[in-house]
Amino acid sequence: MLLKIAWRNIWRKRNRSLIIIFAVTLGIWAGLFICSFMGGFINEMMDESINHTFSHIQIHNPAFKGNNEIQYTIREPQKVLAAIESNPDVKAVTLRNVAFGMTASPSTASGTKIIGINPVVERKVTGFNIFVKQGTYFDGKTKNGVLVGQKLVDKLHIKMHSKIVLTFAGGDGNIVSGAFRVIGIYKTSNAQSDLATVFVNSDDFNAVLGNDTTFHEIAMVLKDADKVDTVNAAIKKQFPTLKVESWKELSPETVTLNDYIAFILWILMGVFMLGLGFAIVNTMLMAVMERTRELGMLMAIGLNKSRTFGMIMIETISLTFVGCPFGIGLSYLTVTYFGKHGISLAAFAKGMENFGMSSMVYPFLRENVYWEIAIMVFCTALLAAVYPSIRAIRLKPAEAIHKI
Amino acid sequence: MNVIDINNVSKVYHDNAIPVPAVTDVTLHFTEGEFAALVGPSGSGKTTLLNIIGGLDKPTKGEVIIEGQNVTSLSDSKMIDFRLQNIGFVFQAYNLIPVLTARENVEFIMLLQKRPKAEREKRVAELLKEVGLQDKMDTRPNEMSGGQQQRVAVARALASKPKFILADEPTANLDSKSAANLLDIMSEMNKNENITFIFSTHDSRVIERAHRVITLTDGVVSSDVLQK
Repeated sequence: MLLKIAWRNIWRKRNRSLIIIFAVTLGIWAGLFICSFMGGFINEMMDESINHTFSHIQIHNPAFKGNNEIQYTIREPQKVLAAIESNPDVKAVTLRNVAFGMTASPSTASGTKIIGINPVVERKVTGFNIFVKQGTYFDGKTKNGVLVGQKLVDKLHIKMHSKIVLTFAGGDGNIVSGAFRVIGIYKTSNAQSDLATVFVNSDDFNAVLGNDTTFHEIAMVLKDADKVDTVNAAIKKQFPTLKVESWKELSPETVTLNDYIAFILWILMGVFMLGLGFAIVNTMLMAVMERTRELGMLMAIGLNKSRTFGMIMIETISLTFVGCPFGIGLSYLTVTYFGKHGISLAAFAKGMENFGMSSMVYPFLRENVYWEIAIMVFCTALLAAVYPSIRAIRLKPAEAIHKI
Repeated sequence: MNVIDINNVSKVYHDNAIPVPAVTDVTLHFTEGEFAALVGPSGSGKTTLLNIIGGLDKPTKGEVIIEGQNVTSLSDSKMIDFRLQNIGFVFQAYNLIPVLTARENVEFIMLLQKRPKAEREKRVAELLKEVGLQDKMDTRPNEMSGGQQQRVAVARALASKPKFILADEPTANLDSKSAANLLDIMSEMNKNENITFIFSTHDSRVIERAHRVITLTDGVVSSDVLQK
């Protein structure tokens, strides 16, 4: 009966209740949508830095990580590669050459990171081929082909099929160089990376060095990204003389940014819940004040304090929870729609590229976030109901009954 | 046998620290089956005394004993439970629960008493029939006249099978016909079920029907007269 009274009381002041229900719906939708937007934002950023740049785990010669000198190669790379390939958690793994040198066109030059890749395996690891906007990804036919970022193309005043010279320090300390032809121009959402990185076939790289088996980097992606810490620890243990790092160690700024955004989101949700809480307290306090005489009568005829308290609590929670499914449903629809079609932030594209972020955001929410928000709303309603309920049980029946 | 003993009860309110006596040294005894009216002008202490008898207010001095139980010493929560089991209330402004139907309003108090469903349904039907509202069982208070609402309130007061009923100016908001009808119903119940009724009123229609008229003047019992 208390549940019935509480439910019917909600609809006594239909407009006021609808405003609260609308506020709850809007609050939940806004909270969830912002979470999903930031989630999509983080996903894009992670996708850029993990899937297309760092991969999940990288292995280097410890000395190479110190000063990036080309002579610090991975010893017996094929053996390490085979061991990692046999790890059931690893989806794909590749060997790379890395050198820091100079890329020169007939008119100018620029400092670049030169990465030698196995084009076939690299597709599986970073899927870098999708960023090639002009020309082709390595086709296996063209010797000394190079993929150059659009930004570097602009800077060097070159175009497709232009010849450029890559120069870097060889293993013996002497400068080595090779002429390469632009076979493809790529464009990622990371403008800085596009300006400072070129990709060549690792066979061509090694040919310039005069060595067939030089590799500086082993990069791998995992079947389950959430296992990165476990697999990283296992490989570290397996190869104690090598420097094994997960993307979290390779890009701590990404981790920090991720944590920071998550923290901001919690604050934002806290602010939403605080606003919602005050709206509920206000509404329920008004309801208690308006029904002083009725509550006094109920207490006079025998409704004890715990039942009076419970009745107001039930009413508050019911009022809040009417809006909850609408908010969650609306959020689900919006997140699903924009998650598929994306939200274009083209107006901010240039700025975002400088931070290595895409101008398209695909909102994303883990399913448990919906439950977390529902629980947060429930807790907010529970807390917000306490004060009006206390006000109700503090009423003196003798005075309350005669209140006009 | 006395149902209610009011011994030397006084109540003093404080208005900005100034003591305002509402009831002074009242001693009254009510026996089972009485149909008594507390009368007097506004401010004479009728409602205060009724509230003290019903445990809605505590006296500053004195005691109220209901069937051997000193209710002035009961805690608030025990007093609520005592009221639920022993006292029926009828208020001037009907005070029904507006979101419940007549049936639900009457049933509510029995739910609080945790009576079985079958008993509740039977008694609700009986009581609403007794007050002549068997055709208004599923009607909400805002769809009923004042007289009808007050009859539901009487049915509700009786639903808990109380020892006595306290009615605070029950006819004040009713027209003559409704008031007479209500008094007939309460009189019948007093006669047939031997339920004690105590009214606070200054309505001559109630005073005429009361068996005992207690007059309060400035919080003091100035007369206590039995009527035929």
